[in-house]
Amino acid sequence: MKNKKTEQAFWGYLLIMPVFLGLMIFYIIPFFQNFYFSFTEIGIFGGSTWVGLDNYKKIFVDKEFWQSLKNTFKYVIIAVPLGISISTVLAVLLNTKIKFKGLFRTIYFLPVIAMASASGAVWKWIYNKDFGILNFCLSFFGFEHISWLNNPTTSLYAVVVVMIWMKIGYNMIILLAGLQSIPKSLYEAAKIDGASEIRQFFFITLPLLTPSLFFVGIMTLISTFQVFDIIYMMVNKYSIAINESTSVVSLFYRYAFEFNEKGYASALAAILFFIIIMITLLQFHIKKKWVHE
Amino acid sequence: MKKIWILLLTLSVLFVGCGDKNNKEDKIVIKYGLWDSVQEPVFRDLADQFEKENPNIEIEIENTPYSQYWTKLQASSTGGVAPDVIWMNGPSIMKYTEHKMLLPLDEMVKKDSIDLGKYVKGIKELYNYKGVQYGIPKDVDSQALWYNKDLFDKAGVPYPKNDWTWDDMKKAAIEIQSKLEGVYGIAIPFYDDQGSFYNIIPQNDGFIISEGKKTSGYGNPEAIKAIQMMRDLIDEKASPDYTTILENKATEMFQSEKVAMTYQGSWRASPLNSDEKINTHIGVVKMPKIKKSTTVVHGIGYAITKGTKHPEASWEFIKFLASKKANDFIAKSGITIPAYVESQNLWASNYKNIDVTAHINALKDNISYPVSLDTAKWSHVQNEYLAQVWTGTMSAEEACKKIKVEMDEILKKEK
Repeated sequence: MKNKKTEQAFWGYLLIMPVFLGLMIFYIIPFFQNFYFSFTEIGIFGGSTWVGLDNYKKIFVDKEFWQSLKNTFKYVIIAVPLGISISTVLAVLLNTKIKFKGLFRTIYFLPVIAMASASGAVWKWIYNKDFGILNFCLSFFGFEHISWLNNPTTSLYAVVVVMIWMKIGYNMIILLAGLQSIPKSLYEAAKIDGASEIRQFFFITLPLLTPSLFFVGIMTLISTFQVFDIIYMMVNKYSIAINESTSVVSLFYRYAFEFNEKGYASALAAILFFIIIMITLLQFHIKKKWVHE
Repeated sequence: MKKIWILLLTLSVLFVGCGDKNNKEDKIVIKYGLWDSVQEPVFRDLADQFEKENPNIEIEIENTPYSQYWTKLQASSTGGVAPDVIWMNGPSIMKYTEHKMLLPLDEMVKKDSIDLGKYVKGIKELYNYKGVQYGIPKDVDSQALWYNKDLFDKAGVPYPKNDWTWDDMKKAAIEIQSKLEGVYGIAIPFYDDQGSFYNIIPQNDGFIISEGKKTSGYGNPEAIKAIQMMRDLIDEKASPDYTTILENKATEMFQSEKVAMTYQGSWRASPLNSDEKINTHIGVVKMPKIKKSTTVVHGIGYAITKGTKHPEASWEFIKFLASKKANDFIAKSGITIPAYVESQNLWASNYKNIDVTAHINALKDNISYPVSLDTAKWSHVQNEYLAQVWTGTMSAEEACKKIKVEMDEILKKEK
């Protein structure tokens, strides 16, 4: 009997080995290495010297870091609530009995499958100052052509729109699943009691959707804090708006791969990690207050 | 028990793939690292010719896309498994020599009496670090003024000439832009250092970085004046504004006939020559003269990595690639202008629709692409402030002085 158990365990471990090794090599070990590197200065061709807290000290007086942190928080504060509200509304609408439901679900989900680089290229055309379709449409209302992406006051918002557009589909699918798990009987009971559709939404749908909303909220928040690809694709490094749209991860990329200061870059990554983990813990802490168990 | 066998069988399948297929025996294998798929077939042909002449050496080409080339080379150099012969470029050369990742070539050059004077000066100097030669010039890019004859005819403005001055160019550009609806005079790629201010500043007798890479030249009045002259093109309606050029790219605007003139690098000769929409009415002349008519040059160099086990064979291959025969072959293929001066005219004869000899003539007065150890850091500073000049949010003088201060600080740290 015992023999059988160890044999089973052996096969169990063997089968999880590939995934475990992959996780170890590509995620877990580098994760700890990153912390170590953040206290060192790394030579271009390997070799690192211990510099203690120097990288962190440098970051705290780096104007570019504070600017990028401010930008990142702006991305989060705009994109997360707006993105989630839009996907909630869409999920509710697509959960009703309307025609072409499948078609709409597909359309909203398509941006999720599209590569960020492809989406970025398309949106760059939409935002183009001289030939973009957005300015073309606005010109009918008498607006002058402006450069949405290469203008320090608008570029961040132009990027936010694309970020929201890219994430709506994924969040919508999760919220749809959440909606479909709400028992029909609750609505029937509410209808008998004479509750309007809007009351039903606020007193049944929304409370029972909170577990899904919580999940979607955490995932969107983390991925928005780590935004990089879409900014990299859309805001040219020769743009005058580069400082106003750089996120912390963009700055990390610049230091790690353009300036070859991998130690400093690791410290940036470590700081971002702490910010994200603090906010995520906070979310779990206040979860009891609003998430329906 | 049976399960163990299955396990062994699975594992053995995994290892079969790693079998030893090295039966080349005594042949020396030279790995040759490059990044361009367009050029790869030409070099495969050359490698075949070389193998025929040297039956004991085999050339294995490792083609890595440019976006990954440097990351990979950095890692493989660290691990000591880099290709034997590699392509090197300006922004990276100092990093690799400073960290002793390349083999000095002086002795071999001397032994085989290779005359480096036969290569374009700016490229030879680019690969010379502290008096030691680390690379043999492969090719060279030059800049020239490209113009659209149709648009000049329509506006009734005479075509550009090789001895034009900056003011001639500006006057013509203003005239065309005012006469033709929806057409701009000139689009200089302001966002591209090599295609714009790295030429214009030296043309006005300024410099980007001092000899010995110690200080920035941006504080000098010549540089400030040159930047101001570029800004004036936009203000005086000779050029589209910066964001229009940045979002639509100078080359594309030229190809869609929205602009009458542009500065272009010689690497555009091939695509523009085969663009049937415009190739019947395009001319190329040297860039207009300010005080001089300098072109900035950049080009690839052939180098040998420090970790190579076959330095002699690697050198033999480089010697072959650097020969007149190989350079003629490269020139005839049209891929790039060879840095070997005697072969250059063959390059221009490839292009039947457009006369591109101005790109060769421009090379008579050339200057190396400015680099230092941390090129990326100060070029970031430079791009950031210049973008503000181009968009008109900062004066040329203020921006140049700020670049000077920050660039000097970065250069001081390099020492």
